[in-house]
Amino acid sequence: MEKVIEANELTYSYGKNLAVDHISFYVNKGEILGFLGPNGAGKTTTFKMLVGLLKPKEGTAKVLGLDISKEPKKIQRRIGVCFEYTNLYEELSAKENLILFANLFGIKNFNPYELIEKVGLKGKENDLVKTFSKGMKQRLMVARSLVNDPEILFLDEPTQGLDPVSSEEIRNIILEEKNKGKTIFLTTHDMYEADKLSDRVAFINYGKIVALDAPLNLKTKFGKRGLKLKLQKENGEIYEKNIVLDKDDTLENILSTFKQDKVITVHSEEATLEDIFIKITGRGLKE
Amino acid sequence: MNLNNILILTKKDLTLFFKNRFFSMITILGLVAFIIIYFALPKLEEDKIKIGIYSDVSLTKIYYFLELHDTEVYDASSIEDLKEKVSKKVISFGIYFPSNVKEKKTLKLIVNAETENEMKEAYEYIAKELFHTEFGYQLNIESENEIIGVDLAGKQIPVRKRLIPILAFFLIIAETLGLSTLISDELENKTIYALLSTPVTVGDIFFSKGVMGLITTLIPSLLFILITVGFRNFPLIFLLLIFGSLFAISIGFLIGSIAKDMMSIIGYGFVIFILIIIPSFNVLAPGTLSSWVKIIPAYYLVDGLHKIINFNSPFLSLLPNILILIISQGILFLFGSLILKRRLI
Repeated sequence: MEKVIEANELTYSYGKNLAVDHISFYVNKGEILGFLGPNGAGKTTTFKMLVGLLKPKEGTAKVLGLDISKEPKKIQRRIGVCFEYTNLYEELSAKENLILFANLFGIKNFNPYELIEKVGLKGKENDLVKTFSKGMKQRLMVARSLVNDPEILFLDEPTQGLDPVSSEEIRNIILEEKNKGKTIFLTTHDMYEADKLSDRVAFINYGKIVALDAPLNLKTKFGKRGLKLKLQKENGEIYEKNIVLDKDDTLENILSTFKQDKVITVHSEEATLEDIFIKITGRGLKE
Repeated sequence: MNLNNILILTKKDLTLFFKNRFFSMITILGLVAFIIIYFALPKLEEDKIKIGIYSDVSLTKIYYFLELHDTEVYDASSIEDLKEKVSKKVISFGIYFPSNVKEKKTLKLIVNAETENEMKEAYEYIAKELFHTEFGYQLNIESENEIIGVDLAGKQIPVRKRLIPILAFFLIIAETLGLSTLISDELENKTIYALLSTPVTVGDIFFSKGVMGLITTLIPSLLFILITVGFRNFPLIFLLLIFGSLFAISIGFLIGSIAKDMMSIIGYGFVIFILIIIPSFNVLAPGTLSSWVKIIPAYYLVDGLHKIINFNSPFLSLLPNILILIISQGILFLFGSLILKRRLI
């Protein structure tokens, strides 16, 4: 598998505050790597180093085989970047914003309408960005990150603060790009988003990667599977019971429960990424 | 730096600049208003003449005559006093009547070195008329010049001509706020990060801002100069306007790098503008300001423009002005860059 992002002991500090602490990881071509962690964990600093906006204080990283410290501009020609904050030109129209960036990438015969339609803003091409809702702006930001048909998409909290419908639309665009074979580096503190989109997730906490694996593997390794049952006794009393799976007495426990009382409902349960994050780090993702 | 990127960014900045009604209004209305002000002012120098007189003989009719013609008269206490008032331009010219004025038919006319020849002739004519009024016959005139300064001698300047360098300077600095806003917006809205995540470099961004600033500061002031002065001394004026624009850009760059929003731009801009317009008064009313104004770099821009426009000064005499402007621009850009560097991390 071709590694398109490779970080080795990557470190950054703001004065004495160590924001990213010697992290190493890689991202395979065509993969979505979710970078999961609470606010201030070091996600955005890592993101900024990888897209060439910050120079690492220590360590190295290669994007598309190029050193981020030595050849950031060569890298930036081939990547798309979407920031966590809205940084569009509000006094320009959606079309003007896209054309500006296409021109900066030196793209000839750029068609902004195609991208605008792709992100669901058809009919809004000539509207000034300042008249857009947050969701519309975020969709335009995603469109802007695609103007140069990038090989890797760097997305920093792309759905932060959006309503569920807008969030889902952006997630669908991300999956669409993945299906085209693009590599995606996604930072988020939304465990649902990371779980749904990522091939692998990296947990980052206080600047260090504390776990990195496929979501399912992390759940298997750190989480507990279980059954949640609603039962009714002979006297009509209703109660709930949890049975932990994958233990020696699990089968016996299930059989005796089913024999003993009337089963009303059964739900399977598995640990969420947030549960696992808390288990590993002792703090929640929303802190 | 990439020329294509600079052109794209300059076009973008100009679009944003003219989409801001406030700045486009300032640019257009400022130019129009200043041209109107220029043409509305009288073409000739101050027409009210104040005559200073010192006499060793008794004069009776002259004072009556001058009063009749509503002319201000200064009664000097000595010939030295008369000369001093002429040199300080308290009076337009002075007449000294010596004790033997009647016998020799000669008096002394004291005029300032900056007085134009035509005006000297006019003053001599007035003196002759006054002598005739008092004594009833013609006289010879001996005129004596008080030399004040060397370079600027020989020319009386009408107010509106004095205003040209000042108004051109105002047109230049008025545009700095627009530039500051564009820089500050780029930082505050974080669009600069979007640009820097493309092949665009920091150099491209700031060079394009410089080009945009040069266009918006230079064109209005250049148009104003062409309308009011024409092509006289054009290469030198153009050169100084470029350095003036770069000076304004460096101020705009500094304000833009410090300011966080429109209000802080206006706040910082107001303080800086008050400081840099002070030297203008020296052109409008020479000798009214202390020499400390020379520590304000803007002095060298207004002074330089004044020297070329109103005294046709050669390039060499402007060189110190240009050098000081270049040094001050360098310092302002350095400060701005250091502040920006901190803000970009």
